[in-house]
Amino acid sequence: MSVSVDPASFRDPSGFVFRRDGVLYRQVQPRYGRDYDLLLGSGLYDTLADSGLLVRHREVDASAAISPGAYRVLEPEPVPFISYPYEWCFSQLKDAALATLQIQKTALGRGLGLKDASAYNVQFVAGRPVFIDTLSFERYEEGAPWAAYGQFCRHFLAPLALMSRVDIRQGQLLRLYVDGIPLDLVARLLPGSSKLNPGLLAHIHLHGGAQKRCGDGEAQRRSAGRTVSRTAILGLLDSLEGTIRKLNWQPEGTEWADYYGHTNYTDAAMEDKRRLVGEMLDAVSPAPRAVWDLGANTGAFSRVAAERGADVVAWDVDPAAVERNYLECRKSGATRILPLVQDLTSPSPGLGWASEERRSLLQRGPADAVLALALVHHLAIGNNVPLPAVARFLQDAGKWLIVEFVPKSDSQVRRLLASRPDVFDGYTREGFEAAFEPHFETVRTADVAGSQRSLFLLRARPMAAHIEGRDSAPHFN
Amino acid sequence: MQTAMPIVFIVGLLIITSAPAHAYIDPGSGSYMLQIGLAGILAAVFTLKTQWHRLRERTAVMIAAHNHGKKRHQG
Repeated sequence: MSVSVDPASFRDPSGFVFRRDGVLYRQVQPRYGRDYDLLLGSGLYDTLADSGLLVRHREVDASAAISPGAYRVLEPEPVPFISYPYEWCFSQLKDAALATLQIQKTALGRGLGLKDASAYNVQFVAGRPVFIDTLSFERYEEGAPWAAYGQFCRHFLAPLALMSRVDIRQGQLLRLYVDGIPLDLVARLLPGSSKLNPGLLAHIHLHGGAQKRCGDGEAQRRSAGRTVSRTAILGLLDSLEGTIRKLNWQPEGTEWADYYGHTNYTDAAMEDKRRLVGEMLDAVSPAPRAVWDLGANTGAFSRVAAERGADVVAWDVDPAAVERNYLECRKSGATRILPLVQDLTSPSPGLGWASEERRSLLQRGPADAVLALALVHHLAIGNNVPLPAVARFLQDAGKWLIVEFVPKSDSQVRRLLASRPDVFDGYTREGFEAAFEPHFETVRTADVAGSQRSLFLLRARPMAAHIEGRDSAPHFN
Repeated sequence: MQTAMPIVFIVGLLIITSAPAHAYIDPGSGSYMLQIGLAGILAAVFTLKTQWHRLRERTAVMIAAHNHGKKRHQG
């Protein structure tokens, strides 16, 4: 029997999350009993769960607790894949922000409120943002300001404003600041014209200034004895919602957004590749339930896996491609594809306390199957990663691998080499196969008709061979 | 020390009167101050907005009812 407390679940003394034999539980401590009863008794839990905004749970026997005196033990419905705000595209962060505000508004109507508004409390399940922290609700005290206002602005409004008004890449500041981007920094980074927007003026500029002056005794003296009415809190939420709804970003001009329009694939070659990927997925046994599509672009091949019943995480480095994929999934109601931003040349690391609160990319794997289509040449030539190191990484990422080899004679590789010396002597089909052989057993190879490219269906070797391979991994150049 | 006492008292009063029962994150006194400072205008704008929406809805219902009655009368 294995029991482990989730390393991210330590801040709130109301309870914590743990795993027992692979099953996720949430232990509710007695100090949270009153609020937990109110959450259920007020009907808020049912309202939010019915509308898909809050994760459902069932109460299990208290004997499942891992420490004595538990008030309740809950078994939440599982989330297929845990993602983080710095991996979301603009619209995912915006949808998560609006969901959080909707939850707070609904809670206020039932006499409760959110005591925290961390973006990490939201996950994407079946294509929609779902709040996963059941213990974030507390009784609303008449006259009290919203305790989570600062956190909401740091976690949601600040990155959205930067992504919309400055540069989409500034969303990555969330990776640096695990409790949200400091508002005084955001105020400095935003253009002066942002002060003309009443919402950004209040919630970023004035807010950042107020936080800086928080030690000012005069300001506190002037505010003494004053409270914030429920109507003012509703006004605050309305103002935040209006500000966020007006923040937009059009995915244009980034590196890969028009990739499929610029590939050298003919329609027939694309169709053949789609057929081969489908056949290779069908040959994976047991049928993969969790698939990672690395370098997914706008998800053409993610859909091939999703059609077969797999939950697919469609990773891409380009926020424009991820945005397009997410908007397309949202529009078509595709529930099995989760598009996320990921730079494979520097994958999401472990972050937060002891580097354990937010897990690295590989710690969230391995996937049952990985698609690495039109990817390896970008890593090996675009980023100088030796082929054996690429193979090792992909072995860590998944149990099965469908990988595409694109030779130097291909126009896409020629384009990569156009402005640089070719120092990649080992980048040949033979070098590719030799690099992957210590890590994978080859199950099938196939050439894509109408192109110079080849697909490989590979099964990862057991880890012992992998470690041995790692120690002796040669560099090919 | 004497001049600091009222400040300590006021800050203490703020904490006692406004901190939620189970807050475990630091809400930030700047965030509290801003909400207190903007409370009046936030409440006023929200109330006006809500009333305006209600007025528009009622007007739309009245116009629809009037048009419906007119059609029936004509028919």
